[in-house]
Amino acid sequence: MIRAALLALALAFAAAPALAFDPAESLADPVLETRARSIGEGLRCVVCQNQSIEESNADLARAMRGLVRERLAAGDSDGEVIAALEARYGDFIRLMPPLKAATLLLWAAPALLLAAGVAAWRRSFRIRAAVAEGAAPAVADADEPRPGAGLLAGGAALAAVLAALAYVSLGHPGVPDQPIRPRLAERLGVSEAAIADMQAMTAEIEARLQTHPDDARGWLMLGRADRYLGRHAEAAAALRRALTLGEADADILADLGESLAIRDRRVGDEAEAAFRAALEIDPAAPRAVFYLGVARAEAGDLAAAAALWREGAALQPPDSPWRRRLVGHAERAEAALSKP
Amino acid sequence: MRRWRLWLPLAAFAALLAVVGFRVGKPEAPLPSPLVGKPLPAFSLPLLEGEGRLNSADFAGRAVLVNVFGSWCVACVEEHPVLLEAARSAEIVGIAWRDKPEDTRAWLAKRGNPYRAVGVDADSRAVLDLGVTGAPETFVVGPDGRVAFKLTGVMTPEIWRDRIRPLLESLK
Repeated sequence: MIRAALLALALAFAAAPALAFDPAESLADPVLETRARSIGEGLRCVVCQNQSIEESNADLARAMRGLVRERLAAGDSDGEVIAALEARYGDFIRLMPPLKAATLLLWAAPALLLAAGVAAWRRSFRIRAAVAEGAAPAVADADEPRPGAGLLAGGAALAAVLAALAYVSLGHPGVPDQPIRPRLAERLGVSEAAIADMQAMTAEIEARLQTHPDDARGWLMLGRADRYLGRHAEAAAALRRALTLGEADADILADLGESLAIRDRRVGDEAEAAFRAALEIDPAAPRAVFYLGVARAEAGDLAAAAALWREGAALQPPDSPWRRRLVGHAERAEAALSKP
Repeated sequence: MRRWRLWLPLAAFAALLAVVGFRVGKPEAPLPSPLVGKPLPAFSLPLLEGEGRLNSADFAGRAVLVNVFGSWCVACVEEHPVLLEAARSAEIVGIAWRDKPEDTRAWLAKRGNPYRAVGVDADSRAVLDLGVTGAPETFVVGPDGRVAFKLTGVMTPEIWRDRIRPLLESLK
């Protein structure tokens, strides 16, 4: 029973997964969107470890992406956008630390170390040359025995012991390395146990598909579960399999297209083909309309994008969120077009 | 004898190991906020209760605590009794972050309301402008509107007693 409930949950969420890259966030103006992405790639997601806000699923990163786009749309320069966030979060917000007095050593360290290495190497080279020429007496300890194998082995053993000691005192051999699970749980607002169940169930479906590779329903379940867990490359493969085995409706095709778009971080040819197929089944399929417009906008044809969104919006039921959303995108594209 | 020099690399390695060992395993210290000493960024948020807005300009001239929280935030539950205690002697304004107003109301009804007023920041805009990285976070704002202190994480009874209350007293 629990399993059935989880599956229902997965299917319910599959329609609206939380995504690191949701094309719905992007600006209709491709030039601004490109600038927004390049700014975002240099900004740290402050609640993650070394991820840029463009890469992160965290809500805070999502909000920050929105802020970057809002400010760019309002006419800020790239520098102004970064400076505004830096004033709030400090240098830490930049993935690349800025060059200033406090970070001078950090930036200069590689060059200094290299210079020291070159100097040491040149010095030893000169001494050896002097020894070879027989001018050795100038160097007091040139005839001292070379470091013996015993010393080397002793040093290596000592290093190994130190490393082992460090691991024993600092390491956590018992810690399971599943950091994705709590993050997913937080993002999806369910318990970690539910995510673990979900992952176990996905593994189970996968195992069953090994013996029953023609189970279209199984592939569909797997694809939707993968979408729920944010694994879009895997989801796309599974959904494609389900479609070739006979499962076909506009919604699955739109799921496939969306997962492909998220995997590629753009609406590529494959995704476009999926959305076109969805429109053939259901000419009003809102996600297909939306992403095909995004594809036009990404290709620089804002007029075509706006026209697609307008036509698609007219096909949606009045007062549906998709209608408002498509009209909004069309309006933004038209506004961008009317600017000189 | 220059033989001791042969040990230099090993000594350097051991020193590095010691430094790393000393740092690794320590909990990450919260980053200092660049806002400390600067004016609190202005915000204007719809009020949780009733009409009107919570404006940062409203509490100019008074020392206040600005607390970012949410009904979804587990650590906020831990902090809540301390805020209730603090509210007896301090003015606290809340920013309900990324929360549904009905959830915030239910949460406050259940646990008690330490806030003079609560602003609703559903889309994180005010919170981003405050340089917040998570909930709870608390700003101590002086009568001059400047951020005197920012606490990232839970306000424990000790932090309230030893740091924030004395600071508020000195600001009044």
